[in-house]
Amino acid sequence: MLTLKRFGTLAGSYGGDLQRWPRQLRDEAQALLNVSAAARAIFDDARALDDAIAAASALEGATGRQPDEQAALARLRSGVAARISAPIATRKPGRWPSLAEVFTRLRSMPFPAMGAAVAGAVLAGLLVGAISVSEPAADSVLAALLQPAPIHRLWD
Amino acid sequence: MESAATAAIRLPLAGPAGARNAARQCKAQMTTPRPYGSASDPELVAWSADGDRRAFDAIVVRHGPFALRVAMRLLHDTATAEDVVQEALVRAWFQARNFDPRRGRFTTWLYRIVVNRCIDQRRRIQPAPIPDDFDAVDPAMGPEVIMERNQHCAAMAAALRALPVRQRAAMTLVYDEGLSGAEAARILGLSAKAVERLLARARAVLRERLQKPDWQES
Repeated sequence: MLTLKRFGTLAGSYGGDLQRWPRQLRDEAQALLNVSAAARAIFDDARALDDAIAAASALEGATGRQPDEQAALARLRSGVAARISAPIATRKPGRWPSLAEVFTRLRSMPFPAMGAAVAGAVLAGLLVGAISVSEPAADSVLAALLQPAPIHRLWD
Repeated sequence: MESAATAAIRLPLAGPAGARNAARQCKAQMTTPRPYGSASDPELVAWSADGDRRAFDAIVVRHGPFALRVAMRLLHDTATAEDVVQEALVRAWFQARNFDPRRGRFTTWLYRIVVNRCIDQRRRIQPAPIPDDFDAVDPAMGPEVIMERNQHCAAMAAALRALPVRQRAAMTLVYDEGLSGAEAARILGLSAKAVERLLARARAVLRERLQKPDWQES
């Protein structure tokens, strides 16, 4: 059973038009309207506010600030058609991808592929480090301390 | 439920016979246009996901006007509203393959993209002032009627424009577009109760604005 309090709450949200009310409550609301003068007063008050809102809303549409719907739709169709027909931008040959592009591609990969890509990159880095880092000169102790150890020395 | 047309474009290719079948279907589709006008939304989305731009154009024709009206109500600027709707539709095109009709209606999915983009856009921009010719008078009315009408309408219109964007979105969907509270809730990604509260707060603000003694000063 719809109480007068709940009726007032619903009128405060959905206004004075039962078509906007939740479908399952419309019959109960109508029944209450039929028997309760208080409910009718609440409903009339809500309807008055509805009218004021509708007038302001219609006024906004009548002042030319709402676009001609057909012209706007035509612009929308041509704009969308142009965008979805355009070839997807591809990387220029010879240019290396930026860090952001690499990160974006990584994020779009499935998890196993992303893991494999990251692991491959780490292994490649270790390999390059192992090959390219030279042993420090024997007479430069400071340089030897500051320079990272070659990878194969880690196992010595 | 998948229609015969949708099923036809999703037939697996199996060997030369499959390839010949596919070629025949492609040829048939090229010579026999698909029933875009009468196709359901899920069918149009499925065709769009396979790269059928005419199917997507049918979606734009079918749902573009609603999206434009809502965007216009929320953003108050034609060019910005059209840009936002276009962005949302292009995004829908590129994500059509991800749409699953078992998880919800296409319109809910599309309108949610549109409304969320409008909300984001509205939060980035300041509302434009109401233009001088906003409330043009009808010379046939008497001066007192004109004054009263202008004052009420201008006050209400200003209050409508000043509503927080989520309240305005709820009002637009339920009041202007006639959606149910439940439908508006799905589009806004909220519960029906939350939409009810948004509507109640919006109406309370508008009622206060209407009854405020000094409303004519603004």
